[in-house]
Parts: sequence; structure tokens; C-alpha cells
Amino acid sequence: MSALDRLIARPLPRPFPRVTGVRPVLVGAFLVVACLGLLQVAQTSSATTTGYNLQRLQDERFATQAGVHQLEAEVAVLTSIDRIDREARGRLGMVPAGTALTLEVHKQPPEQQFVPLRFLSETKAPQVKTSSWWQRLLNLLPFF
Amino acid sequence: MPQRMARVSWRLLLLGVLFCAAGLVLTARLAQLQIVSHGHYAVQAEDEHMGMEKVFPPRGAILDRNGYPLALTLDTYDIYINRKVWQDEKLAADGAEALSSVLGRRPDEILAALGPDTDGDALVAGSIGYDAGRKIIEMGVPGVKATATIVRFHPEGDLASALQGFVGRDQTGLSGLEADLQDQLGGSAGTLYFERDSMGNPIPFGYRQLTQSEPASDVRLTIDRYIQEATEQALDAAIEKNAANGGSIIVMEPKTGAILAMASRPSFKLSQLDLADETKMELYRNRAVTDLYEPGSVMKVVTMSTAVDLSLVTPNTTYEDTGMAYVGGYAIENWDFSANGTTTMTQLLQKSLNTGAVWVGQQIGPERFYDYAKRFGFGEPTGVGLGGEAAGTVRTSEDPEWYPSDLATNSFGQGISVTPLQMITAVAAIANGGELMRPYIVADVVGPDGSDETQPQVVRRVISESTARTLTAMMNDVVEGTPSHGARVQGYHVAGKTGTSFISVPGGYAPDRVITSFVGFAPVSDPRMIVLVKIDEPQGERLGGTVAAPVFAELAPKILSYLGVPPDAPALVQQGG
Repeated sequence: MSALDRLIARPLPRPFPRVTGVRPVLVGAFLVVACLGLLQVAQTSSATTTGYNLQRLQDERFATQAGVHQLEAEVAVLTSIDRIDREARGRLGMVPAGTALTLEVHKQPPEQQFVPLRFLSETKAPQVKTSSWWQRLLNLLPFF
Repeated sequence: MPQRMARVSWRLLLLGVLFCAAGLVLTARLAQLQIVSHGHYAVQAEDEHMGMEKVFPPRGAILDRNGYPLALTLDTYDIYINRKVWQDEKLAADGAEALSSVLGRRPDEILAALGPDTDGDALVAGSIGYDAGRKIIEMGVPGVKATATIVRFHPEGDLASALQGFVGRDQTGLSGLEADLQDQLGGSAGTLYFERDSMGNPIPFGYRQLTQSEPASDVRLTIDRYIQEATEQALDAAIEKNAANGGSIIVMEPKTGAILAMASRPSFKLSQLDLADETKMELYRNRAVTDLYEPGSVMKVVTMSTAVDLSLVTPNTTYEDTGMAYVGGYAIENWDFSANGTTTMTQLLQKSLNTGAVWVGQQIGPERFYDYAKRFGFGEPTGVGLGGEAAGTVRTSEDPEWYPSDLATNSFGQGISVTPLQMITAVAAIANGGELMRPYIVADVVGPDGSDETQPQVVRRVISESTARTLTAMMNDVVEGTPSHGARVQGYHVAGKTGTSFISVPGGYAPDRVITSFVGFAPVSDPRMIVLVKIDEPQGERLGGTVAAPVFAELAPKILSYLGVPPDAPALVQQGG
């Protein structure tokens, strides 16, 4: 009886647990969130790096621009009237011009200018006029 | 027991109600902060969190007519120190020590620059070099802030100071061309919004938004630096020689109206600019366009042009000079109290006879005289584009305060007020064949979108070409027909006229205060330049012929030679070949 009771009291074997979709979804969601997080971190890091590079380039541009302005000022000082005057008097020993003398030449200029070559600008070879094949072809046609 | 429960319930109920009420109040307050006043607090929070800086584009350069710079922009930094942060003595000492090497100042000088205040920012170094500024930023000294700014640099020194003017700390032009051409030279500032820390400094890699500035343009003037320098030197020398109060010289191209040089004294020096000194305020104006004077006998050229153009007189027309002219109950005499008898119109100009000018004025009549005066540009600004240009004062016969004696005095240049620029522009019309040109000083504006060139502009024809030729010949006779005239230039034929006028004071004229002037152009055959010289209140010599004309004679050959104008007198020309 007791054995029967035990038999009766023994719980029924539990059914094999059903595989539900909750856990994989959670795992998947975790992975997605992690991926998104990583993506966010990567993006933020990339944006920060780009921002840093941009700022560095901008600083470089400003520095170069400032350098250009500084050089412009130096060139302007070097070409200023005061400095030219100082250099002309001090270094070259020049003096202000006295009475200007103008020569009036009643003679035709020579056809060939006898100027030392070093004072002449380099002459470029005349460019040969080239025409395309169809222009040459047209030229062959009579009355054209 | 139920009674006790009831009491407890009542107390609990009260507590509950109180909690609920407090909750409601809190909720209402939260709603008010977050919803109703959201905008207000959002702005406050943003103001606290976000900083804003104006980003100026590099200011454009001012160039002379050949492209040589007169004013340039240099990038610099202003160094500020937060006084509150530097209340910490150790930090301040270390900071001053660190800054001293870059600023080239002793630490105690830097600390002294903070002043007695304990709050706010103190400017300890203004307009330091760009590299030094960057170095200070990189040092990262606590409480030190470097603000990017720009400074104007003048490679030609103090040349044309009053004409160029200057800019303020906010990079806005305050006087001269810097103010007149602010839109072109200044461009449009952009704005930088950035996240800032509790000290107000930008947070590295924080939020930044920059609205781009509009780039500025370079302005090329018609001013020639060589002629400007020669002009200023001549003016300074003349003022010193004659112990004068001041003066003006303008050099212009009569055919275009382009101003080649413009100098006036007293003035200021850009290198010694001190805006804090209010006594120097009146030095900042360009007197050649802002100040009025009575032109004196130079006006006789205008009177004579009018009469010749109306065919009322010719150079050989005569009048009888008795040495006295009576108009409206007043007796007008010649400047030298002379009586010259029968006098031609050319002689009238040569001897600069007031009685003759009065006679010519009477021939013209008031309506026609003032009509021509207006046509010559008197009584209205020339439109040169310089700030503060005066219109001048011409009282016409339609004016209720006009008297017949006004026509007489106006005909020889008293009782009428003009600017030096108006006077030279009027006489330039004679040199230009009778056409009045609008004077201009900006040759072109070169911006990112290209160049905007100023074209010479004819305002109107004032007199006929034939009248202009006649007057040119008469003015040439004034200079070359008068023995030892002070304005003669060796090698060039010059036309011109002197002027000496008394300075008006309340109740009349000051007998011992005069303005001397000369207007002349050369060469007569093809005028390339016209010069007006005006010297105010000279001591000693007090006539236009002896004070102003020699300045022209000194300056003109330099300018003509520089402009490559060959002499037209055979005296200086050697025949070659």
C-alpha cells in the first residue's frame, strides 16, 4: 500500500522543457546593443580624430596665413620709399637728382637695337602654326 | 479603539494631503521650469555653456596706385589674464614667470598689469606676434587667455596718415579711408560658437560651429606714394619756413579727376596714435575735404571764365581801374591799393585786381554768376567719397541774406567758402577743356569676385572748350607774364593763379590773419597735373605769390619728371643726333 502510495505520490516525470525564442532574442539583442555601442564608440572616436585633425589643419592654415601676412609686411618694408632712400644714400652713395636734362633726338631709331643681349628678355621660338588634318584637307580643295 | 483609528486616519490623511500638496507644488514648479519657462532657462544654460567669438576676416590692404601697400594686416594676439584665477599667489607667480620669457617683460611688470581689481580679465599684452601668441596658448598657463586679433601695419610709416585713417580694437575703421571704405576693407565678420569650460575657455573637441566670414577686399588708391611723400615734405617745409598754422596740398590729374596726393596739416601720425588723448581729436580729420576757406583771388579765374564763356569779355577787353569800386555803400580797393588806369582782362588777372573782378562780376550779374559758381561745383560736395566732406557756402541772390555787395566780394573770392578739393576740381575743369570731372581716390577694389574699377566721370560741361583755352592762356600769362613770378617752373609752361584771403571772424575779417594759396597746372599744352597749395596764416610773407607759389614751383618739376612728362621749353632740351 505504501508502495502503491509512493507510486501514486511519485510525481509525474516533467515534460522535456520547450525551447522558447526568449533567450536567443535576448542574446541577439545584447549582441546588437553591443555592436551598436561599439559602432557608436568607433564613430565618436572617428569623429573626434577627424575633429582633431580638422582643428590642427585649421591652426596650420591660420599659422601659414599669418606667415604670409608677415612676409607681405616684410616685403613692403623692404620696398618702402624710406628704405630705398636710405639704401640709395647710405649703401650706394647716391644723391638727389639736380636739374634733369632731357635730350631730344632728331634721328630715326636704328632698325636693329644694339642692346647687349643680357639686357634683352629671352626671345621665345616662334610657335609653328599647326592645323588639323581636316583643315589641311579643306585647303587642298579648289576655291576654298 | 475606533476613535483612535479615526484620529490616526485624520492625521495620516492630513499628512497625505500635505505630501500631495507638496508634490503638486513641486510638480507645478517643475512644469513651470521645464515647460513654461523652458525657452528662458534653455537660453541661460546655453549662454553659460556656450561661448561666442567674432571671427574677422583679414582686413584688406590699402595700396597706392602702383600697388605698393600703404596699410596691411598682421595677425596678432591679445593676452588676457583672469584676475580671479590669479588670486592664488603661487599660481600667479608661476604664471607670470612663464609668460615673462615669451612677452619679454619682467614677472613683476606682468603682475602689475593686473591692476587693483580682483575680478574680470586684464589685458596684459596687446597685439603680440602670432608665433608668440601660439606659444602662450600651447603653454596652457592657468587663467591666461589669448584672443586672436589683427593689427594694421603701415610700411610707408606716417605717409598720408589723415587720409588713411585708423581702425579701432574691434577692427572697425574709425577715421579716414579706413572708416569710409569699411565695407570693402573689413568684409563681414563670421561667428564662432563653442562649448566652454567654467573659465570661459573653449573645451577641446567640444561643440564648435563657425559661420564663415565674408572675405575683405583690397583697395587700390589713385594716390601715388612718391608724389604723396614729395607733397607732404613740401607742405611741412612750407609751414616751417613761413611759421604757418597749417595748410593743404592736393595734386590731381585734371583729365580724369584722379587724386595723386592729398596732404593737410595739422594732422596726426599713425605711429604716434593715442586715442585716449581727447585733445588730439581734431587732428584726425582730413582738412583738404572737411575745412572751408575763402579762396581769395583764385576765384577770379572762375569769375573770368564765366565772363569769357558768356562772351562778355575777351582777354583784351579793358576797364578803367581807378583803384576803388563802390558797391552797395562799400568801397572796395585793390590788394595793393593801386590804381592802374586802363587795364585788360589779362592784366587784371596778372595784377590780381579786386576792382577789376568787381567790374567783371557786375557785367555778369548775380543770377548768371551764381549759376556758373554752381556749375563749377561750389556749394555742393564733390562726391569724392571721403567722409566729412563739406559742401561749402555760397550765398546766392535768391538767399534773403544776400546783399549786392556779396556779388562784388564773391567775384574776388571773399564771402564765399569752399574746400581745397572743390577749388582744385573747379580749376581742373579749365585745364580739362571745360569739363568738370568728379574727383576720385579709389582706383579699384579688388575682392574675391574680381576687380571693381572706378571710371573717370564727367560731372558736366562747365565752360566751352574755347573758353577753357582762352583762360588757360590767360593763366599762363599770369605766371609767365609776371616778372619773377614765384610759380615758374624751368622747362615747363605753367598756368596758374595766386590767392590771398583774409580769415573771417565774428563781425568781419581779421586783418592780420590770411590764407595764401596757389592753383596751377602744367604743361599748358597738355595738362598732366594740377596742384593746389594752401598755407594757413603764414607769418612774415603774407601773399599767395610769395608763400604758396614757390611751393608749387618746387613740387611741380618733381611730379612732372616722375610722371615722365618731357619739358616743353627748348631751354632745357639739348638737340642731339
